[in-house]
Amino acid sequence: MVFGLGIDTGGTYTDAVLMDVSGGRVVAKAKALTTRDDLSAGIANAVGGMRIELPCDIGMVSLSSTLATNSIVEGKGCSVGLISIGREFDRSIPVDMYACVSGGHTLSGAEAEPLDEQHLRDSILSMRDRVDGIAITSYLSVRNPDHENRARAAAGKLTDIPTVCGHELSSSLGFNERAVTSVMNARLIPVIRELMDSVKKVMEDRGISAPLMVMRGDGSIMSEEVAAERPIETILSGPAASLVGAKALTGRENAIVMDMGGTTTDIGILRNGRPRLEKEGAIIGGRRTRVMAVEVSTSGIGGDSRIVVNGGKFVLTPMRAMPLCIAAGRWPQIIKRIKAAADAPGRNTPESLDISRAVQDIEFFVKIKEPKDGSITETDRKFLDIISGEPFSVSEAADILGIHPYMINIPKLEKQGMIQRIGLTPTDILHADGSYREFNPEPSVCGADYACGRMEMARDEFLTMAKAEVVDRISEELLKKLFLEETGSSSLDEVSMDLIRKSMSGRDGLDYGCRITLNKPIVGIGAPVSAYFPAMAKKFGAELLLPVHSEVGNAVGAVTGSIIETMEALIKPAAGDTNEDPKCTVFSVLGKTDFETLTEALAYVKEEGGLFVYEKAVRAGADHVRVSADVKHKKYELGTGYGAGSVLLETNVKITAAGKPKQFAVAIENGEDEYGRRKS
Amino acid sequence: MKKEKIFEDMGAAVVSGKADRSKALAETALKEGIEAVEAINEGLVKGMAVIGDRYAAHEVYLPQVLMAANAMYAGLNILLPAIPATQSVDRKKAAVAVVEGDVHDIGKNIVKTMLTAGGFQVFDLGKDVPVDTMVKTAENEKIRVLAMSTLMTPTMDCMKATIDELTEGGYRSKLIVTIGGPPTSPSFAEEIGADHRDANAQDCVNWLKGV
Repeated sequence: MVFGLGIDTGGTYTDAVLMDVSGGRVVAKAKALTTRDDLSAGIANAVGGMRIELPCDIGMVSLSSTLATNSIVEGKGCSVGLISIGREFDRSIPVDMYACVSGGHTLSGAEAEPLDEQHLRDSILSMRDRVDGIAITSYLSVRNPDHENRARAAAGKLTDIPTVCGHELSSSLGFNERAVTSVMNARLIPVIRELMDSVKKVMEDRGISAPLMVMRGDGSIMSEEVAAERPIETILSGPAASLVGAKALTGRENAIVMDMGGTTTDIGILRNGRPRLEKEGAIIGGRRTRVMAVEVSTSGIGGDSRIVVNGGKFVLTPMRAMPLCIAAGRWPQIIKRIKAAADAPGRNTPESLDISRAVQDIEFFVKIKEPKDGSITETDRKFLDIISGEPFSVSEAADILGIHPYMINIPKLEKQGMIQRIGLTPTDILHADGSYREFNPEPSVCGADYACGRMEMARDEFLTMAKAEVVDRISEELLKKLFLEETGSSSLDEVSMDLIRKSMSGRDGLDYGCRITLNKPIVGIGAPVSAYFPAMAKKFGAELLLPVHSEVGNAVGAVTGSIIETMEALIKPAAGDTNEDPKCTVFSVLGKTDFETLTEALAYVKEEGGLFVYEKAVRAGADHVRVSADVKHKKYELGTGYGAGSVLLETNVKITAAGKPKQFAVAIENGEDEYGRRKS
Repeated sequence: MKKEKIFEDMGAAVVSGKADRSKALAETALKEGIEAVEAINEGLVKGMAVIGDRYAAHEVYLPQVLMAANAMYAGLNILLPAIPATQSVDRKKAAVAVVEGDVHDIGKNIVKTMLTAGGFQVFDLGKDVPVDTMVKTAENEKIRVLAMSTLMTPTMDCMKATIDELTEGGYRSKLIVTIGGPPTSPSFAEEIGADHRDANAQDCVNWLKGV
């Protein structure tokens, strides 16, 4: 039996799972808190938590992590110098050193300007001792990588700093996007190195000598060696792992996967076993890159969304609050105060038109960050002093200060990340009605009592209503995602909102009703899904799958991913050649080559490209590699009067090499197909 | 003379292709204190729209369109300089061009006329325009609409090349690309990544106004 060890280091938790890969079975699983300052501690805790005899016959260790994404968003990473060739970089992200040298190519792959070798050498020398990585990006290098290759060769001679070329990370047009991608990649090299070293340390301590694989944002996996060179490809691998994990746990090739976490609900779609990729390239930290990553939409409704009762109305906001039940574990003194507030719900608390300012007596605040000098008012500073040790509500703090609660500028303090809000959340609702028990439910029950008192409702009635509200909101988010997939638009007008409401409530209007049905099952992942998703699935008449091990779905995804390497080639017919089999030029990462016929060009791409991706896949750790080519002829019809038939504009070829990690290949032969599914 | 009467006459002058009359009416309008923008929109543009519709409906021939355009420009030459600078700032910039290798520019000129009539500030790049000129103009002048045209098949590829260059340079997402010319088709527009293709100038400008 061959086992795979999957590890997922998330922002909050590190998960570990041991899978019997040949049987597609989860053997053991465990969760531990992520230890940000030394990741290996959290990883060791998670692996240790599985309580199994290690080392058993582990064939592979696979890692998925949000670390790269987080690092970029938080602006971490090493210092990077960028050398742009033939065009100025638009500076959409900061770089530590920058030089622009002349050179670059044209669309047809001809040299636009000769490469300024002297300036290039000077630039490399000036960066030599001052940056940790160099990114090189040249104008239209996707049509001819010659200048990038020469620049890298020069850098290799003059320094031993890691060097990254734009054309290796993307074959799509977009000079600035490729530059952003290369810079981010260079920045991440030490970050990913540290992460992999942490895992390897744990593996060593436990005597595991299997190869280490890393999850990519497109749902495939790559070897440690490749990850060290192209860490940018691990971006958004969390959602990708979740989708691949959902597939492995349910065996479904087509499904809507909804991952409900604390802060957000991620919705992704599997079609024919593959997640859909973001065509233009993933957006990370607000910048468009050319990294292929799964297309997942994120909505702000999660277990810690803030619930407000304001003006007698129930509102579920996308703002975050720490659930009462979790906060009470840390500050037990607030339980008494929540209870007191619940016993006097009619107390004169000011209400507000602005939900973010609405004061709730069961909401508490605690200081989490020091303000910058002079950035806040005297009153706000005094408020921060009060809440620096333990949480207080706005009313309590206002009483202490002898001012009106509105004098304290909560929205500003919250926006600047100085305070943490504690309050009623969907997690509390589930604790209050007993459907979920992880923390002490008492503060949640009191919180619910306070809210239902203000709505003049009975507790049971309130809890049922609150759960229905959450179901409605996530159902609405699901529909928005499906509409976006279908139409490419996310703007909903009055009519479409009416149809959504009719379909969700199941009630007819004056003359008609509306039912929306799904043609795929919903796979629910995350702790609270069993409380909400059955009601949602029922609305759409959809099958609902709640896999048993869904809480470690990402780690499962990491173990069950395939190794996939791809290459894209563009074959362009010579201008004006309208023959059946025209003269062609091939543009790809292999360079630019001319051919007498399209047939020859295609044969070359399949042969040389196939070999190229095959070798890449083998280097990425794959065995039993299968190579396939997807050939798309872009043809168009001429306008009327220009003859029937169509004209070839260009041919796009995507060559894919897919395989399973070496140690697993035997298992595949025995019981799985190429995507890691069990054979029925 | 009453404002409405002037506008009506201006429209009629454009429809009947009388350049001198159009010019004289434009001067009268300014003398009467009518705002230039209003005179353009209510007089000249309405006349041009009538001709455009008739041409699209095959009721008039191309020479009549060209004469109407000529009459409209005669009026515009008087009225455009009279628009206060503050009002002209928010006019969308459009560039029109016949791509490199082709010199058939009648269609392009009609589009230019309709765009001008539609309130765009038009940069006419002329005929036989290299890819580089279109891309540089778009980037430097912050063009919002690029309209490319060709009558021949071998030159169609220049449209794709222009869009590819715009994509590589990063300006593609900042402008709308529309194409025209008999050999082009909606499927061609889609394949090369253009936003739109239309068979006649009037419909194209109506579409542009809507986006």
